[in-house]
Amino acid sequence: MNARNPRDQLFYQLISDLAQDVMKDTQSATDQTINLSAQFLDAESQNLVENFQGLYESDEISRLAQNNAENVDCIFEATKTNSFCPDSDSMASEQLSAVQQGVEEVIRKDTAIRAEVNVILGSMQFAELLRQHLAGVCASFGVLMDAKTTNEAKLKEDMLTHMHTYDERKAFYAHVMHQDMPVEDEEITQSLIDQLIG
Amino acid sequence: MDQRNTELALDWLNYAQASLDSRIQHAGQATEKVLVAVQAISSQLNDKQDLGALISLRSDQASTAEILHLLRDVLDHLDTQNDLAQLISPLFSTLQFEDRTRQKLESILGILSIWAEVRNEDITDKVLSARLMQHVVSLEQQAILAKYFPDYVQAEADDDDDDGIDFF
Repeated sequence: MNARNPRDQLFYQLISDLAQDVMKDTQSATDQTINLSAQFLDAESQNLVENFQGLYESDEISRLAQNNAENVDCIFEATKTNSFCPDSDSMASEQLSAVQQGVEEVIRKDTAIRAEVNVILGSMQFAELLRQHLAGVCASFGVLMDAKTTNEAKLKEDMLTHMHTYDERKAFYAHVMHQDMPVEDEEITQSLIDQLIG
Repeated sequence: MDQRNTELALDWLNYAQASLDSRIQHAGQATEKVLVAVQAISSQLNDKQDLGALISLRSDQASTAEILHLLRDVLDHLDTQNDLAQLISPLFSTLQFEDRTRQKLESILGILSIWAEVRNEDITDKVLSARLMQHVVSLEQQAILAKYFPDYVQAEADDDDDDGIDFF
């Protein structure tokens, strides 16, 4: 890649700044939604929202969810079967357990509260996936701009390490790798909310 | 720039557009989810006066802007002392955020397209900044663009500006 092309560099910086602007909005909106909903939700529902937020903010869970499809499946399976991965650390297990318990409590509540919580959790999931997609775009654009090698296959592999979600990996395999996404990637699911609440 | 690198850049661009487009689609699904939630809450209110249009609305029959307009109107008439009615307010905020995000993502997609168009063209900063401004949808984005084109883009909106751009 022509790393010295000032126009390419300008677009890279511009896109990075615009992505950062969206992320700033996203964080602000998530905080606002949680604060606003705290005024109207009962304590149990609010606990669920906060625990769910903690789940995304957990380094342990994020690492598991972003780096390894097997572990993502393991996390989702754990929420469904009330069992946890043997190799999960205790903090991650506690957070999952809190969310799962909160979901069970909210499911028993009336339609209005359930609808409200469903939207709030969905909004948080939307924000998190958006963050990952924007980060993937910016990081891979950076790899392209900095191109430390002329080996195209290596460049693509470097870019791929920044793709963590199903949709972005699917897009990357289709448009850059020009091959079908590996079967193990097909098993990545993003519908955590749907599995939790339905 | 050699041909292979140009091809890789264009491939990357197609990936980036597909990746961001998937989030725009997700925003659309989120809008539908919010509407369903608002309708579920509205249908439980004792006083359903003025709620008929909202309750019967289908997301595939209205734009997000139309849904927001209708919801704003409903919020203005709801009993602020009613707990159920109060649940709708955060949902309105969520819908606004998702719609704003969708517009900003579409803006980034437009700017990425311009990159593909101009990367091998010899055009002036004045022309480039004007083309980029066509995709700007917010004051924050305008301020960012002004950083890179201080001679051609103002960091703040001009009160006398009458270019028809409806920023949020």
